[in-house]
Amino acid sequence: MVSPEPSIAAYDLLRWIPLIPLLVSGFNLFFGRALGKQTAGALAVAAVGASFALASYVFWQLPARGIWRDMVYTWIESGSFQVNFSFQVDALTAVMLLIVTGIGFLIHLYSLGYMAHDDGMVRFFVYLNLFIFFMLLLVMGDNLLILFVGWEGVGLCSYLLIGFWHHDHNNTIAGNKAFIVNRIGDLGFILGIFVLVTELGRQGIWTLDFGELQTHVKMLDPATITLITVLLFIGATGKSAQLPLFVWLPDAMAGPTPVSALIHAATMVTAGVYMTARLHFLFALAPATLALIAVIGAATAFFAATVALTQNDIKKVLAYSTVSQLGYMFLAVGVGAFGAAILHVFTHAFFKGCLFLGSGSVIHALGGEQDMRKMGGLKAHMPVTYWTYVIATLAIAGVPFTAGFFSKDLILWQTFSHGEMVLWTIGLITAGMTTFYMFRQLFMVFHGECRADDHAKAHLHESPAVMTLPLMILAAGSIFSGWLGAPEYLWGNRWDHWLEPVLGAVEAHHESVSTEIIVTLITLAVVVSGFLLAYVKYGKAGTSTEPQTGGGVFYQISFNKFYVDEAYDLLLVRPFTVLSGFFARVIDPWVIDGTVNGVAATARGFSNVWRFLQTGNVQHYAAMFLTGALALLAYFLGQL
Amino acid sequence: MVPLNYYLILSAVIFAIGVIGVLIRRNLIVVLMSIELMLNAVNLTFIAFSRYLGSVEGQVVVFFVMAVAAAEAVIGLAIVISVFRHRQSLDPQEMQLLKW
Amino acid sequence: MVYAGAIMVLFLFVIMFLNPVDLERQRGLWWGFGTILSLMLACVLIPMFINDESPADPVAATDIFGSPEMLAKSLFNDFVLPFEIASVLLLVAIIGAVVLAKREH
Repeated sequence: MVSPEPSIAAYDLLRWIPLIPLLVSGFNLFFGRALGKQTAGALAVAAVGASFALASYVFWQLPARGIWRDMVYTWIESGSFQVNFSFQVDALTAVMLLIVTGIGFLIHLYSLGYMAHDDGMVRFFVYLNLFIFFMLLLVMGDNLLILFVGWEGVGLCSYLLIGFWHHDHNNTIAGNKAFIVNRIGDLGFILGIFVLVTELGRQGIWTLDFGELQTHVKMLDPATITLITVLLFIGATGKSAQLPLFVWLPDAMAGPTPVSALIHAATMVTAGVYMTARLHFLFALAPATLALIAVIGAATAFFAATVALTQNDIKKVLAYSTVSQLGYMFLAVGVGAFGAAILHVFTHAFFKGCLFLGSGSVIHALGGEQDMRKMGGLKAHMPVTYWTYVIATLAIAGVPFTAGFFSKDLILWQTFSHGEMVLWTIGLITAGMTTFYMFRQLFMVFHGECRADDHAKAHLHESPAVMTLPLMILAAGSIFSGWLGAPEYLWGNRWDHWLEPVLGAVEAHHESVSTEIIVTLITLAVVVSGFLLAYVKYGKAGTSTEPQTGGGVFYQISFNKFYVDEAYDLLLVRPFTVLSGFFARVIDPWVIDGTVNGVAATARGFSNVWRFLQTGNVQHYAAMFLTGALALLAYFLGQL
Repeated sequence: MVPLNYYLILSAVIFAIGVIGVLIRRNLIVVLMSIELMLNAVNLTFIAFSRYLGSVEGQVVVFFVMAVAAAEAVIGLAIVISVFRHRQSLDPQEMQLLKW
Repeated sequence: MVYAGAIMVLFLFVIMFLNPVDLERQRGLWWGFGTILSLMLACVLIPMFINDESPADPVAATDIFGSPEMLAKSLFNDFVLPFEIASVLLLVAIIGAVVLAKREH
């Protein structure tokens, strides 16, 4: 399978893919200000573009080579445990590479326009390039530890970017929240790694390489594997915003919109899905964990969709939508359809990225307005934004022949054919809700009369080309990217076939084609009904605003996001704060300082006693000599 | 012939007397004299062994001990003179500047 | 004997030079303690020496044993280095004594 390597392999290609953004990030950190905003930004965009070019080359050459590897250096070597800083690109990583660098490139380009008026633009690009570096580490690492380094690094960049406009204290709070909640998940992740290493080590295998893990992990007993996978999934819960650790994602909307698009829609939050796909052999051995994942995925999808129904902030709707779509991905993972999950990652990156960038375009046009109740009628003023938004909305709703249709239907079909009827129903209802809230958003923002205040109206303009071009590319992707994963009765699933070397062959369906078509039609019916409902409520009138008062219990619960944040605050944050207050005010001064000072005081006490031996009288000292000499004499003479 | 033990016991006693002097006497000059006494007791031991073992090296050591004792007595007395000039007293118990 | 006389004369010189007048005071507690301590020393040493064994026959004091000739032979052959150092030591002692005892002007 491996043909003679092309000469370019001599240049250790893989390491440059993450390295170029890192170098440019560092360069901009020190010299960006001197270069000026536009130049520094262009440099940053070019860096990601270069990575994308390299990634495309790697992708193109992949079938010929089978797998790309690049070992940079030996990082940890302790006895027989060795971890290398090395990269590998197989079919799965290649897909993720294209997503990260490709969508990353488009969003970098978009940011040139979006952040053009911002003083911190250079800093923004430094962080964004750094993020690309860490994300690439995550997807290209050939062992679990490098993946984790990237995992942590993207969490850091997420924090830096959420709190980017740090003069507003709320933003920094949101950044803190993201980082801390991520950390809680990471604790599970780390523990999972520890258990994995020690349990394998007990069998004599000391490694974290994916290849070696795949061979040896069968040696572990099922209970251990379940424990490891549950712990790793807890990490994924934090990073990919599932129940119960999703609370940071809506607040993360405090960051600039390109950040929301790149990090919190297309790439970082999908890291959890990638990790489970990468370790699919491990998860496949733990059916209990997979069941848990499926349940949590479905529950998250449903729950987030219910909250998105009533939100008024344009980005919050998209944030909860992201959480919901991530739930779909984990649902797919849970039923064992890893390929379908990754396909949804792929298509979601396109249409959610397009939606976020489109919302950014709207916000930019209105001079910073984010409340949908103050929008409306923008269709005429921002045609490109409007039509790309429409396409992306169709995609996320799952209208036939858009990308979202194929990926979402694949997930629902896989759920159905694995017999998970309850989860399928939940997924179905969620699809309906998705359609409803997305079209609600579309109608509220673009149709009807413009409800914006005069200041915003004066500001209204279509975004510059540097922002609309990525929108158009992403919209195109929102249609065509899913075509790779078509069902059998259409033109076959190229996607699963591509991923076969990594994820193994997909088991053949036992259901008939007609069942599959019926399921698809049911989904379609739900989608259409969602659309009609939205149209009735928001489309015709256009100016329909939310019931401002009352609106029933369900509305209140949904609007206040089920009071989850408040519950967490009451149950977790406050007791913790009290506990740390106790430690700070009692334990630290009294116990710790007391111990240290107490040791010193004891030494002083002893010396206060012993100093009386120093009388200054020479004869006393001579007597002490004599005593010592006597003791020695007696001892040695006694031994005779 | 006088047995060796007698010599040794004698020098042990002389040594002990010297020790008492060093510890108890409150005149610095007497303390120095007691030190000389101790040194001479040791000389006695060396000579006794030299005779009984037939080795002349014991006597050579005595030679050196005497030289050192002389030097030490000289310096010690010079210090005593110096101290007396400052304190007008020869009592070691009054020289307690290094007391706690 | 020369040695004993010399040291004795030295001490006399110093006593006459200093002319200390007051008598020593005895302090009871320390006097007792010091005496006891040195008595303990004696008690440790002396029992060690009380025994009936005798080493080799004592060498009779012959003309040559213990004579200056034999002593000198050992001193200048085997112990020449300590000998020289002892002379340096005496020189240093002299200088030191002179310096220490000088009357300051």
